[in-house]
Amino acid sequence: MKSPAATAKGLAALVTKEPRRDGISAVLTGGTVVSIYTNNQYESRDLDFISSADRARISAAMSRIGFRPHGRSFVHEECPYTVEFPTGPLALGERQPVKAAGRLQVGSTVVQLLSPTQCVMDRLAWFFHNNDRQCLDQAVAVAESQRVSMNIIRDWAKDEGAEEKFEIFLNFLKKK
Amino acid sequence: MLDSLFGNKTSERVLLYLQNYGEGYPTEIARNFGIAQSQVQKQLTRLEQGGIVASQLSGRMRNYRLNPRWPYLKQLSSLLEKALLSLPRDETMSYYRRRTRPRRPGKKL
Repeated sequence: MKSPAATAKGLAALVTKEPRRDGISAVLTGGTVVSIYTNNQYESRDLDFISSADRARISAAMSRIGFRPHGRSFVHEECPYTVEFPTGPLALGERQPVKAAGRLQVGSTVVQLLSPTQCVMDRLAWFFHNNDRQCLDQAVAVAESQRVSMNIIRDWAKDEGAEEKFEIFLNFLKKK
Repeated sequence: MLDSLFGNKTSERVLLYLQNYGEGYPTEIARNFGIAQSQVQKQLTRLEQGGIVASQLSGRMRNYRLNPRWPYLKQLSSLLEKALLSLPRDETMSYYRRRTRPRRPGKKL
């Protein structure tokens, strides 16, 4: 079967569109959102969609676009990307459930995804709670490339008990 | 950069590692920098005797972190953080950007 999409954006649109026919909604999250907001400065080959639909329904929709289950992922022989549907709800650190505030128009499809501010919070959560500095760099890159609300992020960081690490984030951002 | 202050290069690297990753086993710290584990262990023992780092047994391994009860921890962390911020990019990428967030089981690498 031919490659369903050559870009992450294109695939995100396809994976949004096809399950939507069955009434399944899904929110794009994780590293691909970073790729989109940083113009591929950080490339991710995994598309993570949060959906409350059960796996059998998702699997049926994915098979229509040529993706087969491979462990917890969905893969396509001609596509460099893998797609996953991690268990929800959508969360930003300790905060949940979260309503995704981002929208990306790809052709006639509107992809639901984290907003730039939420994307920064999503990446910072890994830095705050797992000391993952790859994600710190990604948060900095998104904050540099997009308009984000630093007040919202600061308040959230405070709720996460991570005010010192938020300052580290600000210092890396200033360095750029 | 801070090796004169901390006594030697290994000591500096050990402290930067613990600030960066939050914790570490001597084997993984040594592997991270490509240096002998005995060198790392020597510095960790010295720093623990001085109360600067603290350790905890985890199975048969000892896991180290900056001592949360050391009175100058905040100042030390701040200094180490400034040093991390000032490192050349290639050094940062080589030693201080290992993935530490979990990977879902069965995920293709």
